[in-house]
Amino acid sequence: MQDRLHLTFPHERIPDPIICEVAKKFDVIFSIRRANVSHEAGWMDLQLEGDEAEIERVVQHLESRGVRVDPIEGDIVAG
Amino acid sequence: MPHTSSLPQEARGAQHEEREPQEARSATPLLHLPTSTSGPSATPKAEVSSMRRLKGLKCRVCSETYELCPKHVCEFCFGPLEVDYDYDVIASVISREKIQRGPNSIWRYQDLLPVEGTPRVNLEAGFTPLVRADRLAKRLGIKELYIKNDTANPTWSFKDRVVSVALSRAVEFGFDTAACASTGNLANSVAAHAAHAGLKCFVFIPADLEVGKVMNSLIYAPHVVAVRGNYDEVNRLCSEIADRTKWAFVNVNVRPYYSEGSKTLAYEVAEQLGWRAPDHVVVPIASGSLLTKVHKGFGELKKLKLIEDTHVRISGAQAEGCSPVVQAYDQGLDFVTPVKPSTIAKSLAIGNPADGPFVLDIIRETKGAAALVTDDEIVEGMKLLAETEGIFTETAGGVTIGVLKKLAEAGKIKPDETTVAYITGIGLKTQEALAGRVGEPYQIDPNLNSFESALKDVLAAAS
Ligand SMILES: Cc1ncc(COP(=O)(O)O)c(C=O)c1O
Ligand SMILES: [Zn+2]
Repeated sequence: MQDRLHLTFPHERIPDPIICEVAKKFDVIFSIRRANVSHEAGWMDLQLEGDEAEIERVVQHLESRGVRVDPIEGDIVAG
Repeated sequence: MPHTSSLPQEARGAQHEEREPQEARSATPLLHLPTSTSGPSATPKAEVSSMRRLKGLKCRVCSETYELCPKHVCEFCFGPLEVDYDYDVIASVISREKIQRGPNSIWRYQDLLPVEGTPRVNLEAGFTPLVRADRLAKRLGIKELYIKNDTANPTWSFKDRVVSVALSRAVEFGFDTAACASTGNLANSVAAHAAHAGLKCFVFIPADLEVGKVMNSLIYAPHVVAVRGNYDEVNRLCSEIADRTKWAFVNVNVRPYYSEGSKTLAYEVAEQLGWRAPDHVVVPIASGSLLTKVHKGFGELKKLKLIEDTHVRISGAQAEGCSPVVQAYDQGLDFVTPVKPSTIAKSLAIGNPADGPFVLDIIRETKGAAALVTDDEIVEGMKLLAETEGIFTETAGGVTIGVLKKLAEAGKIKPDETTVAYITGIGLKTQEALAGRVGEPYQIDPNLNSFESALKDVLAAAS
């Protein structure tokens, strides 16, 4: 399965090698489509491929490391 | 229907959409949801007209182009896709006179909307009043202020504009099921338009939504699915459902068409001002689609020489409890950090706004401003608009008026600027926000003495 995710990195997590961890610890492949990382904060749009459970583990890992994970569409539950 | 299509016959035949590209996820069977087998069906390729008004879709970030199809994200950079027009073709058919002869709805601007034939999902949204607001202007120290009263729509919010465009296009693509995830206005509008057009309809809501809110959708008899879970979980699930079903999810797979509907809020204001753009507009921000499309709308009118080349300053309004765009603006950032919403302005409670970065660009480029108001100021804004102008808006309108007031007081709206505030939804849907805030009736007995003594109190209170 494929998933498109928008990651947001808070200021405190900018120095951490979080993307490297995803590459090494999980059986998924991904491509970075767009990103903007600065001293203050950062974001990254990823296309992930792997089986559903493994992608779910990646999302949980990212969240446990303080990264916010959202669908690429942004919030779609509108007023 | 009073409206006859204003498009050249050739353009109507020029359908060249194709079956939605198979995405990896759609191979997964639909969970327990009834399957609508009818995704967009392949339409026979008509001869390509030499008068192609609609060129296709174009990525807002990297400019990659695509055929007109139900697709919303660029395959390369994941940027949002937008409808791409051939403005030379439009310039050759459009005129002020032609627009003025058109229907009293958004469809008088069909030459600038991504629908090819007679619009098939049409409750006559739009062409709402532009009210000169002298009493409010005086309070705020502005000379010329107008309220664009978009509470006067079929389901009482501006969402009828975007939904009518999205679903009319969706029917042209061959969809027979409309869907959305919404806690309020969007759900009401999708359900009503689907009912009117005989489309099947799925509406997803968070399970803890108040009964009163759900009623405004249930009356149109859509399938309402309540999702148990927190805000993020509901969002994520709905995004997955949108990916896996073959439904026209108005703010997901047909979002490029949906958001074009908001341009009509710029066209109408310009036409109602006698074909001139205002100097300054104040627009509420949720996902940011409305603000970006109001900007696009004024830009198109200039490009087509339907208005003078004036400069419109665009300012954005958010509630303090959900203000990711205003925070990024204040911090000088060009991207938005998502937040967890907590505000009475529920229709603006989008914590991760898809169009956030574009909104920031537009506000800066047009020399507008961005500001936020507290829940208390939202209620004050609702009351101020009602008391000075006789217009009862919902909490989102309270945000707009509160921010209008702040910007005027801070000198960011100059007294001599012709200013328009966009009031996008009605107060009857958010009455709970006013509990205990609008006073009580005087109680009297059924005799004149009682009335007279009450009248003394009334007059004393008024002086
Ligand atoms: C009343 C009202 N005003 C404004 C908006 C803002 O819309 P957008 O998501 O286009 O920024 C919404 C969206 O739900 C709304 O319901
Ligand atoms: Zn792109």
